[in-house]
Amino acid sequence: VSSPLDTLKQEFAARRAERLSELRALLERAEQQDGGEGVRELRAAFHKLAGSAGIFGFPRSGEIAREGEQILERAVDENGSRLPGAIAAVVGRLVRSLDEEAGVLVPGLAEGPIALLIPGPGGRVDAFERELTAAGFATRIATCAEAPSLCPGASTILIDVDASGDGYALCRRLSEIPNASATRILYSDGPSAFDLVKAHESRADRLIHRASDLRTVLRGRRLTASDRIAGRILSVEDDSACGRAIEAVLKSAGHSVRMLSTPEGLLEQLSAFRPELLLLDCDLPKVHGFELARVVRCDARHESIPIVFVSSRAEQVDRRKAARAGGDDFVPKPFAPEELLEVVETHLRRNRALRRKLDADPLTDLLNRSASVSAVDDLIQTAAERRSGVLVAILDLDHFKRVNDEFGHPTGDRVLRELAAHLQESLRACDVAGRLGGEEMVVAMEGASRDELLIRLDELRSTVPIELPSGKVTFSAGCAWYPDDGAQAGVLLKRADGALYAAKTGGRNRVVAAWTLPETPA
Amino acid sequence: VSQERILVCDDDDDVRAVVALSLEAVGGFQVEQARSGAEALELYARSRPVLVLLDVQMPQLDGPSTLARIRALPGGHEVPVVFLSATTRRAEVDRLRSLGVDDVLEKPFDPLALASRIRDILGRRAA
Repeated sequence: VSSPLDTLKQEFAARRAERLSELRALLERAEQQDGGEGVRELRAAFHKLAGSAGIFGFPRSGEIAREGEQILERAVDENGSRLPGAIAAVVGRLVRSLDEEAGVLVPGLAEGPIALLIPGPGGRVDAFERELTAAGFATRIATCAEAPSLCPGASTILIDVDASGDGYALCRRLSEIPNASATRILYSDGPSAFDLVKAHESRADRLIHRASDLRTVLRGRRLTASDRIAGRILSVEDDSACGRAIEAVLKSAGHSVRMLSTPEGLLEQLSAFRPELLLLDCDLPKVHGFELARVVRCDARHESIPIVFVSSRAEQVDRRKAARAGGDDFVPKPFAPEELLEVVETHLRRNRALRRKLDADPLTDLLNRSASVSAVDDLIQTAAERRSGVLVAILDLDHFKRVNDEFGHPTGDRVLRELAAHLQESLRACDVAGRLGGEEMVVAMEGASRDELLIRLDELRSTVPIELPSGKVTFSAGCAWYPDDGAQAGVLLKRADGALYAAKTGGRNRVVAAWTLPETPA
Repeated sequence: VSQERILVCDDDDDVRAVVALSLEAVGGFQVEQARSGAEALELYARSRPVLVLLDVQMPQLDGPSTLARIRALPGGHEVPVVFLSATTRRAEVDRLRSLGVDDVLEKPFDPLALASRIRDILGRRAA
């Protein structure tokens, strides 16, 4: 008996989210009606859970449900069915207790990072829960009232913008909780531009409008607190005090910064430093910031670089002039550090998102060839500043032609996509993954230790999760190290390619490092 | 020998499943399941159970109302009926007993002990 009984218990555990969402729907209805029939229905639901939870190995949850039932019973007896405020906290405790007891019952259930899900009225919970579970999260569903107390334990919070009337306000409130480092994702089923603005103002990390967007957010980009955006920023500022302030603020947030006190050298720096954003002082001697912006915009290569003006003159008329000159934003002097960072990071994010679209390989969604090469160059730039190194690797699927011949091109494409997904999931957000063409991909990782990165590369190789009827799919890889093997992406890729050849001739399904090969004449 | 049939009526799927499992696997009964009072009345007429287990709080036809209708059916006035109740109020338990049932079993119950409690109740009747 014990085994079928365990199965029933586990099914009960698995369905606890369903029960909670029923309970929550009733709670919300009772809140809206402020009493009456809703309170009675809610009491009946607590009563039911008080009776059943204990049978299925959730004795403490049963007791909490009983407590809820009694609170509501008193409310009905004493004050004509007004909803007591204490009941939301009881639901919060019930959520935690059900999860804890489920963790005892079903080993492994309570492990993993916690995602908090705050649905709207009649919100679709299932699809989100599936995505979160697939991404390895233990999901807890909460109401607006419970969210603040559950928030500190969560690493991701998903909020329906319609939750209890205002998901934005909740998002903002959660962002202000000390030590809450969770990624805040807002969900709206048809977001307008207005929603996006509100999402930004409420300090959301992302606004999504489909459950499947969540997959992209959670897998493609590891959204964690440490994954703050850091970009290369070039600032032209003639006031030295102000320049030092800008430099300090940006560097403190992890950005790479280059400062110019005069416009001379700007064009050289645009090519050499390859900034992702330009901060221009409006009141430069000789040449005005607006004119400088026009000059920059004349060059096709810099058409899309975000330009942010910094100026002590922030009248409406100046802002309009700035916009006409091709400026994207305007920060008035004196500025608050957070204000500068918010503006800069917003533009960095947006521009990267746009660039990602242009730079994507359509089949695998990795970077395309040219974007890969410049991303590797960017990484080298970062490494040069940090005095670290970059491991650049070329990956080539083994016997890929045979896959296409035997199983057809759709299968070949699927293998490429799955390998790309494997790379995306295994790499850090700051690593580079691209497709050079055919079955050749590039991976680049920045770090201090060459050997550590080599181990990570070999882990990528040994953990490829793709299986075909003909056997496991494998790849060979060759890699090279900046600075030892070269200082440019082109050179490093060439060296990596030589090592790849050695990996192929050496028997495939292996990683060969260029620095282990005998010197070859360049 | 045909198995003794027990009719279980509860609107909670999980509770019904665990009661059925307990009575079938431990007690060796055959269990008929009803999701509502109305379904219980229908099944009762067809299956002629040796005992009826009735949940108290159910939408539409609740436990006591279902009991009253069973009592009005042919042979229904003498079939043992047991309430399953999640109440902890003494007064409520007394009220339920006064409706003419053989016992009131409290929820939560121990699923492994349920079958022997039902056996006891049937034994008391036979004695």
